[in-house]
Amino acid sequence: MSPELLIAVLLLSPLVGFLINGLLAKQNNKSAVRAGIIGTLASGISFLCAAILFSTLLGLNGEERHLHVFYFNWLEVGKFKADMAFLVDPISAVMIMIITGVGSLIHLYSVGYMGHDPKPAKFFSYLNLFLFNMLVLVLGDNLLLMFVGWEGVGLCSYLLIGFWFEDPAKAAAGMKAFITNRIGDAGFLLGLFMIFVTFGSVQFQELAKMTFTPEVANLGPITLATLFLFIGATGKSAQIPLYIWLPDAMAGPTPVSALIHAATMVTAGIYMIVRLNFLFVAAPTTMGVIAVVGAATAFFAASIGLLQNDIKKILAYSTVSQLGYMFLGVGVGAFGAGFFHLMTHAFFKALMFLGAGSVIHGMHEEQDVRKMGGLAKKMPITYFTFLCGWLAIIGTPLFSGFFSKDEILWNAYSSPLGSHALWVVGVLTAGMTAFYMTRLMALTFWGESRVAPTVKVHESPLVMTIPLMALAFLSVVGGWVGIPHILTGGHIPNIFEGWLDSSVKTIEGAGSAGEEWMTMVVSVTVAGASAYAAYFLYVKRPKLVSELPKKFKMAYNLIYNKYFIDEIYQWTLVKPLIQLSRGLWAYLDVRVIDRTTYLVSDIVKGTGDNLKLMINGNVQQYALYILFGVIASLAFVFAR
Amino acid sequence: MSQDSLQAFLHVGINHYLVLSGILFSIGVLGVLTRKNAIVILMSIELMLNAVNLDFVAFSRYGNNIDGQAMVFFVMTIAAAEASVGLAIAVAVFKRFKEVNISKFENLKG
Repeated sequence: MSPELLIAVLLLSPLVGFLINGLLAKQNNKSAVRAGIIGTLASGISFLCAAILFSTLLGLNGEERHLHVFYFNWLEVGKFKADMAFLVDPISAVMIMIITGVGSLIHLYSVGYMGHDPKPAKFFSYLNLFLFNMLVLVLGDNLLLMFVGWEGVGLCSYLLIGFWFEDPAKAAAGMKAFITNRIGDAGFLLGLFMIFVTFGSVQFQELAKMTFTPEVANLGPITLATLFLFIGATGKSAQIPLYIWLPDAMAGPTPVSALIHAATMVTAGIYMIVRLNFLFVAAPTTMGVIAVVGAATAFFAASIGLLQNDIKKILAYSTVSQLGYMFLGVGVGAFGAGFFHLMTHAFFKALMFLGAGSVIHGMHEEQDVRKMGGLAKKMPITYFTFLCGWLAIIGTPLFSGFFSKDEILWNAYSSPLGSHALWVVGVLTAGMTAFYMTRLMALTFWGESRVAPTVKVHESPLVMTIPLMALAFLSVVGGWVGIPHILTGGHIPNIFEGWLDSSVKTIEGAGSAGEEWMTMVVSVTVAGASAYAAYFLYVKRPKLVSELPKKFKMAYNLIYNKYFIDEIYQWTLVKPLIQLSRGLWAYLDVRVIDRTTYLVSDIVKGTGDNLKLMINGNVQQYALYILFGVIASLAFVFAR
Repeated sequence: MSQDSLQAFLHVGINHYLVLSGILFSIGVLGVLTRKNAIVILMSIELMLNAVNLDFVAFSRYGNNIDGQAMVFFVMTIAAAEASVGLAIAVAVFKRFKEVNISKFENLKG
């Protein structure tokens, strides 16, 4: 099949699924199975196309490894030109495999998870629409087309977070996500404008061919443009200062959290930076900002995750933290490492969210980890798969998270853009990650059961556990494509790095093998020690845990309340904005604008009211008016 | 008044006809505007039409142009048609209300 046809089917299949399910939603059909089959099939067809495209790319080599497909000229205004054209290269090929692969598994899972929901057709139609937009985002061959997908996934995210909008809190969470993302999107647009004004093009391949001197880049528009684009990335990928929407986004159904808010949409920021890596390397200032923001977010969010009690909130803060890791990676110039972590994270975090969903499903909508415990025996498949995810995320050697996280840390240490401070923050974050994840495992699956006696815990149906098993498998082996050279002495090539080589300008770090071993050993030791500490605290000595808050009251309250960031935003930004709007409404709008318009309407109405007295049905009076008219006309003619 | 000007005044020219026509027309307009009796209004309209006819004929005579006289025939024909319709309605209204006050015509509204 030709690439044109393949990409068209790849893109349109979810769109058709969206239309079919969207029309079915009108019928108020409550069968999750029918809607689920349509949705899963649409996503499965996409996955098939993605796999064929991927294998086509594998057949090409080196510089030729990209497929560019042009459909039609979308818009052309003056010099501005954007085509409806799509680009499959090593970067977007990996993305479409993740999106459609993990997406299909999550669709399948949703058939079980949304089984009792009153509006499954609507759910699956949104999910399909999301897939379509996400594919447009990653495949678009220019920034504008990417922006279309960028906005589209934001819309779907909003719709799905507020899926149970009958609950005002959930509807509000959806709005929070949407509005926060708008701020980032404004940054993205400004960046797009800057790039067009500077280079006269927004097409990726044309931009990649341009050369810029460091002087121009550092002082000039490239730094500004990339900074603006990074603001867009902080919105979409939940980084400081715009991360606040992601934890609240957990109000949506759990499969949504897995697909959109862990595996795919939130990684759009990373993808955009990797896609535009040639621009970002030309702006070292931006790179520094990205690395620092990424490291800060990773650390900050991980510390909040330490004390959360909602199983999905823990995972949400973990996601923010892991995204911070990815930004740290790309910020120090290790685009490949950041992108590698994006992939492994998509596997294990989607797995953990789905596992959490399975737990919530089995516990009949209970999300508080304090009311769980000892679930390992009752939900063996969920437990075993979750265990794989846990081992991956804390960086157990040979599991996927280990390779990607280690590569980021090594690059943060060795890269000319990195520093030892960034590395230390990264290692501390890895320690905290191990701690809160072990805590999650301990409170949920290990120890004694704290489940209320009325709740009958049950293992989830096969339709939900099969995706879990598939993702668990990927979480274990997914990292083996990127094994660093020092572990094998170069006998097994780092496939992932070689794969991206032609399209990514990685900044190589300089460091000895000894140092690389050192960083690896340190991070594994720190993670292992804190995992054991969490195990000791929450399984062996649970009583000690209850005493900790009393000992460190200040710190505990600060972290437990998420550093009061939401409250600070509320008081410094939201409230003043509402006050300002209210003031403008009460004074400017009501008193000035409204009054002016009312005055105009009053004049017109008053005039009409008086004139209408002339029209009273008395024909003789009308004749008199005619006479006046004639006299006036004559007077006008003769007076001249 | 000198002999000459008296002569000029007595000599019937176009201005005499026009002034007479104007007077007749004004009386007609006044009748249409003020009277309530439908018959009188119809008569007043007739008066206005005839004032115009007078103008036509006068201009025709003094302008050496026969067109004006031809026009008068049209006007008279239409006036006759108008009078017959108007009077017929007036008779119908009279039969119903025993008077032909113009205000009774409001009952013709659909």
